[in-house]
Amino acid sequence: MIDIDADEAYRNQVKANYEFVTWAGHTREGTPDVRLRDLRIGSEQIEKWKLEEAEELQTVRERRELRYIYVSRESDGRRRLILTMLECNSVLDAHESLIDVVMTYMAPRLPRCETNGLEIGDICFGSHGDVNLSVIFARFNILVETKNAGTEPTSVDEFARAVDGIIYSYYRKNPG
Amino acid sequence: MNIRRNFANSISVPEWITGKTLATDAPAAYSIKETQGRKIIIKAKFTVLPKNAKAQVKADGGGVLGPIDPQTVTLVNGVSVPEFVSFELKHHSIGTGGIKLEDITWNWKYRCCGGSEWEPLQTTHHRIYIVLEEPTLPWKQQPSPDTQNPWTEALDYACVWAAGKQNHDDAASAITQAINANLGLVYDNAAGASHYTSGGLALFELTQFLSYLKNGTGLGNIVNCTDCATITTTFSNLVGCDLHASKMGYSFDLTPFRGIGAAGFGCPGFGCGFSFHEVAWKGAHGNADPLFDACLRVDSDSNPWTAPYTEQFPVNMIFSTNPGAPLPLAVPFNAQSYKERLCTNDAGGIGSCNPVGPWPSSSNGRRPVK
Repeated sequence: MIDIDADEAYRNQVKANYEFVTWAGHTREGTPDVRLRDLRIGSEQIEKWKLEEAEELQTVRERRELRYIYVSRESDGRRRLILTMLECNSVLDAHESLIDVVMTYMAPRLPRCETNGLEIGDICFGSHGDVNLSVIFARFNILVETKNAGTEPTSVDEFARAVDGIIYSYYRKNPG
Repeated sequence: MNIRRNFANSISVPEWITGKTLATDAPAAYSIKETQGRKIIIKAKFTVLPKNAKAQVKADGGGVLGPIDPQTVTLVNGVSVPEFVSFELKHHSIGTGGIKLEDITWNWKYRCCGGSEWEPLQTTHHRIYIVLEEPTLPWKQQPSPDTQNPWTEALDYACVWAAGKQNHDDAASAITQAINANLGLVYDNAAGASHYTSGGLALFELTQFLSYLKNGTGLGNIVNCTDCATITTTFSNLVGCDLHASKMGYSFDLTPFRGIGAAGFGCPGFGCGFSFHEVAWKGAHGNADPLFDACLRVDSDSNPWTAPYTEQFPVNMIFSTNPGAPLPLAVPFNAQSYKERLCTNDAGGIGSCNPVGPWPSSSNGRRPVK
């Protein structure tokens, strides 16, 4: 019993929960046609974090997905972050993909990053609790998911800001 | 069974060659169901100087595979004829101890040329895996070699977690409990996101998970229900169970439970509600089908909606024994029924939690491993 209709209804419900219509297709800068390609994070591009592993994952509906595993240079391996970047076909496609991801979260809804003072991406959702242990945001056509994966809970804000900065710099050099 | 070491490495045959000293370097796996009442044969090649001889060969020891009875081997031009000689395992005890991981040693001996004394020939070490029956999807026996052939690096855990279990339900229960209680995994209270799937929930990152089990790295110790259901399904099916990861939903209110890694009963950090929940399910994931949930423990007492809480692993527990019952349900509530013990006793809880089915991208809830 695979209830596709139920999944579609659920997806629509998730869109409503996240007020999709209020931000879908919008960018802070540039046009909705911006399409960045072949963006990679270099091993030394994020301060304080050491790149342990980078892997190109199986494409998701023909969108290129990269995963990076970082460990803090200062925590003896206890602070660990997973960064996933999905290269979507358009700004709107990135926003639809964001819905595809958050509908797989068990939390019914996540807070907007701005409510915790984190202003990154074109649209960004943080996590529940005192600090953001995970963040998902879209900047142009790139969907970014950053998750805490270490035994020592770590705010991902600074890391996510750095990633957003890298994407933005890439856009300035290669406007897509 | 056809096995491989992990995603990247197959196992070459013959499993043992001269120079190998570790049991883990010469693994073999047997399924109880498929070997029951059938002859089990191993094959061995011998070389000798002088070039032509006839010798009796036997092996003592053997653990679960038993000793090997004396058998005459003919050697021509220094090599056994046929090249690989068949030996029947007449004294194996596969099946009597259920699921098993055992390192065995065979002390091979020979005598020839009219001599009456057995002379030492070789000592071989092997890691033997015994499972209930041939693994089910995502694991495959054919084609071989294939990345989805059972991995010994996963069998190393599954056969220990389910050691001694003689039937599917007991094996899946033991594996569920091991995942929940013994691996240091912690629920993602911040968002309830999956950490060990990729490709839009299509694949299980088993290589990364094994890294976590071995040295605490991989993708870390934080998991959600999709991860727990996938881990349970994959390891249970590896020993012959037939589970699949399937959802219930959507958007329902929760009564306090003890999440994986939590010290006590309560709600997730994001509140007392799930957008959906995923478990390892039997059958057709209907109301009457039992499930295994490594993600949490429920309250087993006669009032699961208030304290005190008496924790229970949801193992082989029917999803709902009376799905159409008017709400709220009366107390005392004694049915061993999963959703009633997970959800609030009202329309927003029990009334909103229903079987949905596997995620469309999940290969019917049996995510391929990578």
